[in-house]
Amino acid sequence: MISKKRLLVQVTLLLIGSLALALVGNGLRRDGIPVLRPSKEDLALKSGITPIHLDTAKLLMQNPKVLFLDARPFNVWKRGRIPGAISFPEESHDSLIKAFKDTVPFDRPLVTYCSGEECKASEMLAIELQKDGYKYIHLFFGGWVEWTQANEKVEK
Amino acid sequence: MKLRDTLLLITRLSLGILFLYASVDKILNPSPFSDTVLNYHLLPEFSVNLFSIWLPVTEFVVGVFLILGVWSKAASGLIFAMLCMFLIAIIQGVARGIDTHCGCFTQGGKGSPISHWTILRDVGFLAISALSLWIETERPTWKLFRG
Repeated sequence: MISKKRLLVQVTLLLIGSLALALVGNGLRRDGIPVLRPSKEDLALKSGITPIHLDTAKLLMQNPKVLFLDARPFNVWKRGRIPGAISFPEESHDSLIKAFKDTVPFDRPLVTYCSGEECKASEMLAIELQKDGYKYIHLFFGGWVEWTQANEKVEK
Repeated sequence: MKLRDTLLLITRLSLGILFLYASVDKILNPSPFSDTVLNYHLLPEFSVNLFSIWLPVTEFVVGVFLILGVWSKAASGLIFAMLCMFLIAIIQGVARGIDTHCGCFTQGGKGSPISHWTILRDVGFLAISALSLWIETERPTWKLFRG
């Protein structure tokens, strides 16, 4: 029968050993990730995209120069969206971008959003559009969930 | 071989292989796995990556130790603790209606979203793990074969 003290030592060594192995392995590999995760806002700021929250999204929505882009799938957009938002599913970027560039000038302010903070589509779309040459991109993190929870107007 | 030894061998190998298998995709895809962990909304955002790097290596290491039967009580206890942690994460995810994939064996949105079936499956794993912990004898696996 193993003593409790010895068991505790073994558990601790297994955990610490795994941690050391994990950190060394992560440090050595090319696709290693930062040990401390930067927030979505930090990532967006570093990439030159402006992160915004509900209050700013509400203000921008009242400005007709600002174009809201709904990065969720088309059938989800059809069921309800932020007023004025056009459907631009992130996965359809490649097929939609040519027509988009023909109609939307590069200096027009854009706001991308998807379901909420859990989804990545708005972030990915914002990055793609930045690569396409759009200068003023805002990323609305709270997205559809935050918008509807605040009982803001929706368009159907 | 005694019945207890046979049972011990089966539980060690099944849980050990399960944890080795579960660790591989997570180790190979740290970034999608950290996104999955984030989606459970259980950890502060800054700590998600550290956890995502650490957990799969721990799964791998304890899987190897359990298969070999070295420090097997400690490995078995850690597997039991991890399964409890996974079960709590999944139950709270289902209860809160979080739309996320389990991330248990595959990453990047592959596999089914968490559901009552995921909970049931994990309860099954937990039962095997409890049995393993209970009957663990600390004898190395190669000695079990000798009887």
